[in-house]
This record gives sequence, structure tokens and C-alpha cells, in this order.
Amino acid sequence: MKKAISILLCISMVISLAACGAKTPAQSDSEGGFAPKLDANTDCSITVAGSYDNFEALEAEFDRFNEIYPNVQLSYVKLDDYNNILATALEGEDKPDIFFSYASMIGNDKYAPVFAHMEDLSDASLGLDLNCIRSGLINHDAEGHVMMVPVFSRSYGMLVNNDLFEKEGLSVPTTWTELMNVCEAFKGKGYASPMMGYSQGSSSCLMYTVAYPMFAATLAGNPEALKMANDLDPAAGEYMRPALEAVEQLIQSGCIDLAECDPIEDNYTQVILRFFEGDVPMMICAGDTVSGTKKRESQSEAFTAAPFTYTFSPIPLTEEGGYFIDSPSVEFSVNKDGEHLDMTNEFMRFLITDSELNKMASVKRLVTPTADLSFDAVYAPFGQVPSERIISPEVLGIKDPLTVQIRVAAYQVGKGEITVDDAVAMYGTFE
Amino acid sequence: MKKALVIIPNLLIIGFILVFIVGYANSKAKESNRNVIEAYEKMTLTVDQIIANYLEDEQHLCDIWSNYVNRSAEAGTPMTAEEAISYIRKAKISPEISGHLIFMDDPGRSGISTAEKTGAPGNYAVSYKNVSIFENLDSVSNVDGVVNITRAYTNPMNGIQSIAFMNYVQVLDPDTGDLRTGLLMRVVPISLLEQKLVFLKGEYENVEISIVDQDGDYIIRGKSLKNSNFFEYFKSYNDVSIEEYEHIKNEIIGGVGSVTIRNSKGEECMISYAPFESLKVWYLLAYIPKNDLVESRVVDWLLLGTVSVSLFLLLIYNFVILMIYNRKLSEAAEQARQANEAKSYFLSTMSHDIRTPMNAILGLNEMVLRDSHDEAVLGYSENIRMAGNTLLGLINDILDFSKIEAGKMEIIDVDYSFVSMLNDLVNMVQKKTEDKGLAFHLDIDGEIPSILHGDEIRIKQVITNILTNAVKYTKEGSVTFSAGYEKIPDRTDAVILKISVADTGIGIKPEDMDRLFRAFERIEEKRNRNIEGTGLGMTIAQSFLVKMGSRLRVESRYGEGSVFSFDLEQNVVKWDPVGDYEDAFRLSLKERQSYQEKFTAPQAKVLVVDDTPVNLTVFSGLLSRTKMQIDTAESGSEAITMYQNTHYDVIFLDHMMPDKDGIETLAEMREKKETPNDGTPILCLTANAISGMREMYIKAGFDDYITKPIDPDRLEAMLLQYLPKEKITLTTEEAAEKNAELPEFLYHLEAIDVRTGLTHCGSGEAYLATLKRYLETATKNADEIEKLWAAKDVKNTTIKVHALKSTSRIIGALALGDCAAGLEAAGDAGDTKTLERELPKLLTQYRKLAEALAPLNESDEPAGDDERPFITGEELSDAYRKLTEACANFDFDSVIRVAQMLEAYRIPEEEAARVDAIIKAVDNFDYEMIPEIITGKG
Repeated sequence: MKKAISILLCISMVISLAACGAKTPAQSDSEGGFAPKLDANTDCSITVAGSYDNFEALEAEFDRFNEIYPNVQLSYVKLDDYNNILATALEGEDKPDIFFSYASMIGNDKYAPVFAHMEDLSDASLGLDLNCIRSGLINHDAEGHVMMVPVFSRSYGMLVNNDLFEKEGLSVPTTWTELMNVCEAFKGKGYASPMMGYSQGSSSCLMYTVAYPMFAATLAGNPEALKMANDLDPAAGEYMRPALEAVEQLIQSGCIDLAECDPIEDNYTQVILRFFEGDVPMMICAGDTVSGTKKRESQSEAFTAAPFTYTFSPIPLTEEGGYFIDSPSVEFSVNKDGEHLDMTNEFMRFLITDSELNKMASVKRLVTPTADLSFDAVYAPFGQVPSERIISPEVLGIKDPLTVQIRVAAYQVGKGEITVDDAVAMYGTFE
Repeated sequence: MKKALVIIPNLLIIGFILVFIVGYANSKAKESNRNVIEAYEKMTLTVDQIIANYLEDEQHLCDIWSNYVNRSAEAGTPMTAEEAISYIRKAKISPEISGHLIFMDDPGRSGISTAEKTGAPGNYAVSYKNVSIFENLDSVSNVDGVVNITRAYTNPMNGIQSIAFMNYVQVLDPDTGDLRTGLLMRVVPISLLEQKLVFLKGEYENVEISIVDQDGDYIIRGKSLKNSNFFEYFKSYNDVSIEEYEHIKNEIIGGVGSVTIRNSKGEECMISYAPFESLKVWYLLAYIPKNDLVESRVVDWLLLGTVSVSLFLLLIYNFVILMIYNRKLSEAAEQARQANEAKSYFLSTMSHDIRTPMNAILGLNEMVLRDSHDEAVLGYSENIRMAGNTLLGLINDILDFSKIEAGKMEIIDVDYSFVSMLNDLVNMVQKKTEDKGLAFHLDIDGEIPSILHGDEIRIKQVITNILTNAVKYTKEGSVTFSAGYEKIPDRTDAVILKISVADTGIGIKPEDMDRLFRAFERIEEKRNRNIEGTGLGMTIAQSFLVKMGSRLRVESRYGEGSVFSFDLEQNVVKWDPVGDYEDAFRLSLKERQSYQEKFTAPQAKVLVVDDTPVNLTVFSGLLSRTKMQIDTAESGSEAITMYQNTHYDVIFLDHMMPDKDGIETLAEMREKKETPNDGTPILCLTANAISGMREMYIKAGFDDYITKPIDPDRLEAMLLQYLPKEKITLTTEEAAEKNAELPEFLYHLEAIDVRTGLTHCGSGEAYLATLKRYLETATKNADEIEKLWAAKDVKNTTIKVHALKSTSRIIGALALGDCAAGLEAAGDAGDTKTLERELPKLLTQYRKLAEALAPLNESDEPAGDDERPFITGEELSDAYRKLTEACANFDFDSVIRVAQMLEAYRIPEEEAARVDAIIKAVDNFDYEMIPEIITGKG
């Protein structure tokens, strides 16, 4: 009889457990800590417009948001010729509710109509947790308003093939001297170009990636120089010298062999696929490029055949190490004239949290704008950079024209088209 | 019954039913799903056609515009771009649709729009500089009906996602006056296309239509499909091999069908696909969650749940009922077990309790057999012995069977001599066949190994049962016992013993064969009612054989006889062959015919312990002729005292005794050190005859064991084994000597059976004396009978004939005795005719016998002292009294028996003459003189 009772109890327990296992959407909602403010049955459509061809990370957030508001139809739309069409789209019949915005838009009159549609996201009534974002990434306008919230940040550095270092018995360099020594060691082991990167055009070229953080660091401690540089005062050219010399030295010392780098046709997919070949110890690139690595692991036959571990590290340009240029990549703005502003703000409130932004950054493999960088092992080295070496161009007030100068100058010096002295003298004239 | 035996099959059956329901429902569901999917695919084709028609229509409208513009050019009145756009503004009906005329040779890919730019009133300039939608521009054709279409893109004039149908037009460049090729675009918002699909919502609520180009890039994208490229999306959420991926890609681009994939949430969804035949570059994808399609599946979970619960309830109900019945059964089983225990206890008690008095009966009877010379008494006593032995056999059978039933029967293998076993068997059956007048044949393979390893006792029991049965059920003819063997291939340590017993008995009917091995069943009960037995013999034999890995085989012809046989594997200890057993047996048989008691041992001292005085008497009596010094004790404690004080050569210790039983007594004795009896063998004397007891007693510390009722032969054999050899005087030689004193001619006399005579007289000496007295009185007796018959004194003639019958039988003249018995009966019946006819023959035989015995008078008196025991005064007075009474009652049989009894004793000298006179009177049939002789004593 005891056995029979035990069997019955077991069966009922299994059934009970099975029943317990079926989670209701409402239960899972509360787990995330997000408390919905609106009617969960609200039925509406929200469109996010952007320049990305695809934005699966955001679409994953849509799915998660739909678990709370199942009748809200969220969609992402890529606008062709984004920068030019955005203002038109915001005026049109199919106006987006949320749209991409960039720090570079600030102060550009062309985007005045766009700013006219932006909602102040610092409004306390919206309930957005802006504190979850690293303070250096948030731009407050003159009135203290926050018109755009970063969802990804950008940085500059190098992809490091850790397995290769281990195989060759070398350590990942953390100082300039170590970098030189490591490159020498790799060359001695037959690696033609221990450091590589995109070098066919100036946009996102390896020279800029090396030079910009150093130039920004040089300006960071000197407001006067920064002002001169922003004003494209030729006298500010001298401040580029350390950065340009670093570029020149890396190339001249053979750390970077441009002949090896030139076949890389673009600054994104080809950079990644070349890195995945497995014979490049360090690949210089921007954080945006790193975002494409995850998806391309499976597209690379070489990586699939011989996978390896890799991380994204600051380039150690000084004896104290490298710099973490912490600048916003994509930012979200809310169209205050959107048809469903309440639900749009609800979505933003849902999105702008540590967990959701980290999840999105993880999917997209971009640098999260939140304080915690450790969630993605690839970016972990940036989490270890001491605060004094973290530079926020937006906080400093570095303006876009300045970046054009250092980009072109570095590219041309790197390519050997001009000397460092020429470049210093030509500051303000580069286009 | 174990609960698991009920629960597991029930659960299995329930499981089977559920699996069957699920399987059947699933197969139906699959069939249903196939139909649903087919319908869905058909819907996709329908949508495909609708969209294709729509696109062709839109292209057609674009072509109308371009044709109109181009016709103007062809007619020599080309329109300017402004005029063309102006025309289109008028021609287009829908406000959502606009026309763009752009020039691809312009660096800014600029031109004019029919609609002004949103937010910029009056601005009709349009530029496609940064809109990459013209990758396939080379394929734009002016041929009517060919759809030239862009991907979905953002209309630079209003920011609305749109598609454009294109055609080239020739317009006039007002600046140069030349014709210039422009690209005329009919720009249609995607939402218009989506509106065409609204009708689907009724049938497939969650269907999402997407259109992709040949690279998988979306032209139109359903909201559930992620990424900008369908194949990228597919790869992101579906873990497939490169081959599988390529296969699906090829299927979708160009094929028609459907595929199940996982969406971004990991849910299964169905993508039905079909190409737009007229476009060649676009492909329709219809997405729907799989659950929407298969929701009509046949698996009725409610039904399944209900059936499951019902079956479980049924199982529980059955189980409860079963438990109730099981409880009752358990109670009944417990009662049965208790009853069985009671039975076992009863059997055990019976074993002891019956065997104890049986010991007295058979033991005392044995003494009667030994000491009595009265033919009638000997006859009765022999019957008692036979009946007693039969009763013992029955008890043993029942005990064995009860043990088999209780599963307590164990097979105990030991090394044994095959010849020894044969001896026991043959001795047993030889006697029985002789008694029944059957021939007994032996067919023993001389090559059988001499020492085997197996359960000798059980094998012997099996063969004994078969042989006993053969004898029981054979009235005439023979019993043949065969033993052979067969070697086992590849084995050197074992053989197969092949035993068979053939008889010429009554046989068994084929229909009775099945009943042969059923307990308590006796075949042809009515016919065989006179044959003793429990009906257990064959059952026990079969049970033993099965336990030993064999089976009893029976071949029988009803009325002709049966052959019982079995094969039994036995390990071989010694391969020496047993030799010619038949010869050896014949020799031993001859020797046995002159066998008497085995030994005397006057110096040997034996202690017998038994709580029943009569058993002690029997024991002492049985061994009296061995002249051993026998001490007795009636309790364990008394025995221990004697054990400590007196040396004994052998101690017999009863098991079941009050206060201190045999085993406890033994343990105490063994514990005592430095007694006169260290090393004295202690044998168990017990009525506990259940099979397997021997092992138990040996284990308890006894050196051996003998059962009550005591088999005198076995007792003597056991003493021979355990007594010190120097104290034993074997009497076989002595007896042989004594028997050798019997004149040789006696053995050749057909009229006399010496063995019977010896048995009746007790010893050769007494036999010889009796023969002589018979001879001395023979002539006179014969004459007197003749004389009485001549005087027609039938009564006295009959009395004399009666006396002749008794004396003749005593000396072993059995034929003469039988003849006399016949005439005595005739005399009693007054049948003078028979007397007239047969009496002369009797007297002739009588005289012939006397003549034949005449040489006895010539032989010397046998040497040796009179070893007969002295008679006590009391016994003698008692004998005189009995004789006087018998004579007064004309009970001459009793007179003869008393006379014989007197002959067995040494008579005190003062009474010797009187006793001699009495014996002589008896021998001369002068019974009437006997009272006078006794009275003369005064």
C-alpha cells in the first residue's frame, strides 16, 4: 500500500512540477525588474528608424518588450541616405517614433529640423535611468537637456589573437616598449606584419585608429590646445606630432607592413576575415568592426577549422599603456511628435537599463554604454583601463572637424605621402 | 504475489494505450498537417499570383506613362522633363503614388518629382545620389509586360518606404535641345502593396508576407523576420550545416514549397516560398508560426488526459481491490502456513512418537524371532516384522514427501562406493523377490567407476522405490536391475549413470501414465488395493531426480511389464571398475545363507541412554548374544555421570529426552576433559527419521546415527565399525565351523531346508539335537499313526498328524509339514477319504525322511560346551504350568512351543530328567503323559 501511495505521489508531483514549469509571460516580466506603467494590452505600432542595414540586437529587444506588451508592434526600418532623409522622414506621414542620432549632429545646423523633433530624455517624468550609462557618454545641451541617449559606444584599439601569443610564448603587450619587443619577436618568428589593419582609405584606417586616441589624450590635458584644435588653428598641428610619430614609428619599425595590409579591401568584413585567418597577432580596428566578429566566426572557414580566443585591447601607445577613447556610437532619440509617444517612452524606459543595453551590446558585440564592461570577454581589457586614461571626446568637447584633420594627416603620414612635419604644418587644411 | 507484478504490467498496458493514442493521433495529425501545409502552400501561390499581378499592373501603368512620353519623342515632339512630369501628375490617380523622372547621367542622379518634398513646399527636385537601388539598372527593359522594379527604399521626397517601377523615357533637354534619356519611376509606397494582402488575415491571422531578392535581401519584410537579409536571419537562429544551408537557400530561390525553421525566439515557424515568375528576381516568403498551422492537430489532449486519468483511476481501483483480496489471501496463506507448520510439527512428532513404540515392537519382535521356536509364533512374529517394516516405510515416505513439499529437501553430495550401494539395494530387493517367488536378474556394467561423488542416500532411495514398486506390482516373472554408464565427451571427471529397472508386472495403461508421478495417487486403486503404499514412492523418486538434474522415464505395456529408467550425471572419484558384480553377489549370497550373528565381544562395554525403559530393554536384548557389557541410563544427567566414571567403547545416546536432550548431553560430554571416555565414539539413537537428519547429527558432533526402530543388522554393523577391533570376536567363522559340524548330507536332502531349520532352532547345535530327536521318534510315530488310522481313531490320528506337521516344519521339512497340515485339516473336517488316500503317502515320506536322516545316529556328538542359558526356577515353573494347561486344553501347538522353549535352556540337573521325559513325550506325541510326568514331580 505504501508503494502505491508513493507512486501516486510521484505522479502527482511530476504533474505539479510540469505545471510549475510553464511560465506565464507576466512572471517572466517581473523577473527583469521592469514594472510596466501602461496597459499591457495597449495596441499600437512603434517604428525605429536607423542607418543600420539590420539591427537584430534591437529586434531581440522588441521581442522581449513584446513579452510585456504583446500587442505593441515594433519594427526597425533602415532609411536610405539616412543623414539626408531623416529630417524629411520626421516630417512625413510615416514618421519614426525613435531614430538614430549621432553626437556629430550636435551643433550642425543641417540637423536643426531633426533636433526640433527630439524629446528631452532627461525629463524626470519619463523615468529613464540615465545613470546606468557612463556619464562621459551623455551629452547635455546648454539647457541641460538630453536629446539623445547612447545605446552603443565606440572605441579604438586592436583585436588580439591570444592563442597565437600563447603559442609563440609571448605576452600581450601593455606598454609601448613591450609592443615594440613583441612585434620584433613576432617578426623574428616569421610574421611579416605583427600588426595589421585597413589601410586602403582614410576612413577608419589603421593610422587614424592609432593616432586619434593619442591626439585626443594630448588635447585632454590642455583646454587651450583643444580650443585651437577645434578651431582648426594651424598652430594646433604641433599637438598631432606625438600621435603621428607613433604611427610613423610603427610602420617604419616594421610592426605594420602596409604591403600586407593593402589587400584588405574594406574596414569591416575584410578586416575581420583577415584576422580570422589566424596568423595576425594584432589587428588594429575600431570597436564598430569588432561588432561584426561574432557573426563572421561561422563565415570564416579558417576560423571554423581552427578557432581561437581573441580580445579587443587598447593599443599601448605609451609606457603607461593605451587609452580608452570612450565615445558614443549610435544614440537613440525619441520623436516627440510620434503618434504613440507614451508607449515609445515606455519602450525607452525598458531599453535604457544596464541589463537590456548590455544584452543588446552583447548581441551586436559593440561596446556597451553602461559601466559594466565585463559581460563580454572580448571587451574585458577595456574594463581594466584606469579611469585617468579614459577619454570622453564628447566631455572634452572634441568636434568633428578636428577628427578629420587627424584622420587624414595620420593616413597620409602612414602612407608616406607626407612627413610628420608636413602634416603638423598642414593642420586645418586636411579635408 | 508481488505488487510489482501487478503494477508494472498495468502501467505497461496503460503506457501502451497512451502511446497508441498519441501515435495514432499523431499520424492523423501529421496527415492533417500535411493537408494544412499543402493548403498553405497553395495560398502562397495565390498570394504570389496576386502580388505578381499587382506588380505587373503597376509596371503596366509605368509603361503607359513611359510609352506616352516616348511616343511623343518618336513623333518628333519630345516632351521636356517638366512636361513629362506634368503629364504624369495628371495621369496618376492615387495621391500616394508619385512619379520621379531622374537622369542617371547626372552626378547627383537628380530629377523632378510629381510630388513636392515633405516639409519643403514647392520643392520638386529629387536626388537619388545616396540611394543605392539601381544595381540592376542594366536589366531595365522597355518591353511591355516586363517588370522593372527596385527594392524597397526610402522615398527621398517623403521618407516613406516605397518601391519603384521603372522605364526609360526620351525627353527633350531644353538647354541643349537634344533628346536625353531619363529614368521614369512610378514610386509606390510599400503600404499599398501590403494592403493587397489584407484579405489573408481572415484565414491566416498571423501570416506575414515578405519578398526577398535573389540574395535574400528583403524587398518587403514581415515583422517577425529579423535582419535585412532572410538567409542571414535563417542562419542566425537555425543551427544548420553549410550543406543544409545551401540546400535551403537553393530551394527558396527558385523553388516552390515550404520549410520549417526557428524564429528569433526559437519557435518553430513555417516558411512557404514561391518565385514571382514574371519578375525572376523576387521571391515570395509567407511566414506563419507553426502552431497556427497545426493547431487543428488531431491529438486531443483533453481526450488523452481523460483517458490517462481514467486508466490511472482504474489501475488504482484494481490495485485497491487486489490489495483487499491480497490481504485476505495473505490471511488465508498465513492460516495455511500455520496449518502446514502444524502438519510439519505433527509429522515430526509422529516420526518420533511412532518410531519410539515401533522400536519396542520391532525390537522385541526381533527377540521373539530369535528366541522362539514355535512355528506359529515365528509366523506371527515374521508378520509383525513385515508389517512393522512396511509401516516404517510408509512413515518414511510421508516424512520425505513433507520435506519435499516444504522445499527443505537438500541434495548432499558425498564420495560413495557404487558397489556398496549396489549391495544394499540388491540385498533389499533380493529378499523381497525371493519372498514373492520372483526371479531377480542383475545386469551391471563391470566398467562403472568404483567411487563416485553424489547424493548416495537419495540415489539409493530412488532406486529402492523403483525396485520396491517393481516387486510390488509383479506377481510372477522377474525383476531386472540394470546399471550402466556413459562417458561425457570432453569431461574426465564425470559420467552419466544409466539405471533401469524392468519388470514383468502388471504394467501401466497409457492413460494412467500422467498420474504416475502425482502424490497420493495410486494407479488402478481397485485392482491394487491389496498392495501397500502411500502412492508417494514415484513422486518422491521423481522429485529427488529433478533435484539432481534428471528425470524418471517410464516405458510400459499394460499387462506385460514396465521399464523405469533414469540417467544421472555423477562425478568420478576413482575410475577403478567395479568388476563382475554379479559373480561377487552370487558369492556373497551363498555366504549369507549361512550367516548368523556377526560377532561376540564380552570385553566390550557399551552405554545406552534412552528415557524409555522398554527401548533400553530392546537394545540390550538385541545385543544379548554379542555378550557385550551393556550399561543403561535413563537420562542425560545420569549418562554424563556414568560417562565421567566408566570407560565405554561406544555410547548410544537418544536425541529426544526430557530435561536434557541428546545434543545437549553430547555437548556436555564433549566439554568434559580427562574422562575415561575421551575419544569414545558417541552415536545418536533417535526416532527422528526425517531425511537429512544424519547430516544434522554429524554436524551436532555425533560420530554416527542409527534410527529407531533399531535395525539389528545395522546395529551390529555399526558396532563392528566402532568397537575396538581387539575386543571383537567375529562369529562368522565360528558359525561356519558350527555349521560345518552339520553333516554335509543334510544340505543335499531335498526334503529339508537347513536354513529354515537353523532359523527355527537358533543354532546348528540345537538344530542337530532337534533332528536327532525327530529321527529317534520317527519310526515309532509313523507306526503309531498307522495303528491309530487302522483303528479308525480319526481324532487321535489327527492329533498325531498335527504334531508331525509342527515338528517337520521346525526341522525345515516344509513339504512334509505342508502335507501333514493338509491331512490335519482333512482330519478336523472328518474327511476320511482324503486320509485314506493321502495318509500312506505322508507316512512313506515321513519314513523316507527318517531313513535319510539315519546317518545322524552314526555321527559323533558335536564338540563344544553347552552355551545355552540356564533357566530360572520361575521360568521352569511357568513352563510346567503352561504345559499342564495346554494338555488339558488339547492345545498341542502350545505344548510343542513350550517344549522347544525348554530345549533352548540349560536345565538344572535335578529337573533335567523330567524335562527330557517331557520333550521325549512331545516328540513321541504322547501328550497325555505330560501332565503325569509333571505331576510326578510331586
